[in-house]
Amino acid sequence: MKIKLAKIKEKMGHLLGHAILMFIALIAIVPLIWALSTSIQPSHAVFGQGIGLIPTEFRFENYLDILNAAPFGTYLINTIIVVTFTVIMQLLVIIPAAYAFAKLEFFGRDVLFFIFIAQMLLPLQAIVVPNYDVMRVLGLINTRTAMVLPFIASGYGTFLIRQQFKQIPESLIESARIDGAGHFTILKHVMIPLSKPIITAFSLISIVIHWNDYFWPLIITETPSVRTLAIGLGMFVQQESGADWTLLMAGTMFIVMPLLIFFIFNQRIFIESLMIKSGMKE
Amino acid sequence: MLHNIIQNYKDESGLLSYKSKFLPYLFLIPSGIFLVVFTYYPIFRSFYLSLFDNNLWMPEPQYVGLENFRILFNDPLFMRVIRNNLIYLIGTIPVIIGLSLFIAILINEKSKFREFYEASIFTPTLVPMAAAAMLWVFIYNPDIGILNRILRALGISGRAWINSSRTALPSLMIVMIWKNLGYFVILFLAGLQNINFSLYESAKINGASWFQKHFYITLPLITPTLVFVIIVNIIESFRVFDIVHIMTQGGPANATNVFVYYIYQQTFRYWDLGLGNALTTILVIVLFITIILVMRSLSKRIQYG
Repeated sequence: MKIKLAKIKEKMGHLLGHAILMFIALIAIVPLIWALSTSIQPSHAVFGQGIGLIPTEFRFENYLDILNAAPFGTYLINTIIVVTFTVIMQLLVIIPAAYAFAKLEFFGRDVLFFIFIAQMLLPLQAIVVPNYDVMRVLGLINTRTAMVLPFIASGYGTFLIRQQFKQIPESLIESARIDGAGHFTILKHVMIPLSKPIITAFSLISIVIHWNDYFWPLIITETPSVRTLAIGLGMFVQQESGADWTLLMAGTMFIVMPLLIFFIFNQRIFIESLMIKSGMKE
Repeated sequence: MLHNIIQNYKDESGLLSYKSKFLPYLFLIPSGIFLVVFTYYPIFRSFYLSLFDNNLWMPEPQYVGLENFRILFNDPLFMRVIRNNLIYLIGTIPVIIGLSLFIAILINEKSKFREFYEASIFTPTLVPMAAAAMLWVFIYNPDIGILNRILRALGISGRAWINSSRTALPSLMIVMIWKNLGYFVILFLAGLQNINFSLYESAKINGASWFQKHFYITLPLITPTLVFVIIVNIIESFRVFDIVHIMTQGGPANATNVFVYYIYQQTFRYWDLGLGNALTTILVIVLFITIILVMRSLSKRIQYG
């Protein structure tokens, strides 16, 4: 009897858990569904009665209208350029540094490692004033280059990839070396292939972060021709100033969609790679 | 030393040889250049320039010692900004940590719908802050927003959430929690994978309740992840900007004016570079001290299971 009661209690707890999770999952996605549904309705529909989650009238032309109202196409191309260059440059400079910190011995290694990863504690928001000055001196105000440069030496990436490189057994490197491999060959044929999950994880995180960048482009750009999606949306909002909600939501969904679609197709890779990354063991 | 270098040079084919003492530094140079030019040099330049009065209309910066700091600490608005930031920090961090750990534990105990929960709770993380802010301006809209619509349906009268100085800051905090929660759920889920399941089994046999089980087993064993999550959240709370810029512009009546927004106003609106540099100096120092204190106090408690 007692066992039976305990079983029932456990089952109830289990159901309660599901109910809570369901509720939180709904809160997480309902705002997006609402925005999506608003973005495909005619503008008068938002003043209707009820909650308005499911559209009754459709107007897909909203998306064409925003493309005409602001250069969202240019913003999209700029975003892809900036994000691609950021991630490629990050990997190019981080991987050698991570390799040196993980596998080579040299004077001052620990101090230098600290200096490299302390960058994590200094978000660009905190040091925007002097960085703006640096860009002005370099003549890079209002360029896509300026949107890439401050993010290249990622302390976070150096830390992640170094932790991973450290776990690769010395014996593998030794045997590669005996076969006459230099550092470059070792990196290319041993370290990088064995660290693919973590490199993917870092790249995905970096793509998301830089796709979303708003603050730095706001400061450093002056014309639509170099602006990216997030800041483009910000400008669009100011220009429209709350006039038409369906257009505003179409603009909003336009910058959300690419990442969401990317996520839906790579869902497992995304979540699993995020999981690996927090395996913070030495 | 020189002898060794020459020896190395002879032994193998020079600077790029495996044993070269210079080589490790060579690997650090590319990253190092960017680090120096765009992180460390700017910081020290800011420290130095914080001692000067400088704005767009002055031909040359003028040395004023600590005057900029004196101005700031006597400015009631700056005090308000610090207060707002503290409210934000104290209001969001416990909620984010408590909720995300709780959700992660719940998900970890389930096998059904697990992927659905993970995916949907993670989704807001992918929404650009600018888009999330815009979305929530719509949600909070007093007339047509979904929040007030739901409240009306329940017979509660809503309010102008982000236009009233009492509810503006908490409203923004809710948006940030909505957006960031999923990321930390995934981090905690990862941490939970490392806990040996048999620990829970034996606790259950000994009659531990759900709460006891997690308080005595999960919490101590998840501390490394916890430390990481706290530090990330502290940094996040000092970076808040996008949402303020889009949703409230620091208003109403500076109720949502936070540190970075204040830096933005002083520097890129009023072009007072002296104050901007002084603010940068303060923020960098505050960030470092807070993080070192957190690491010190928490790392002692880390238990390795």
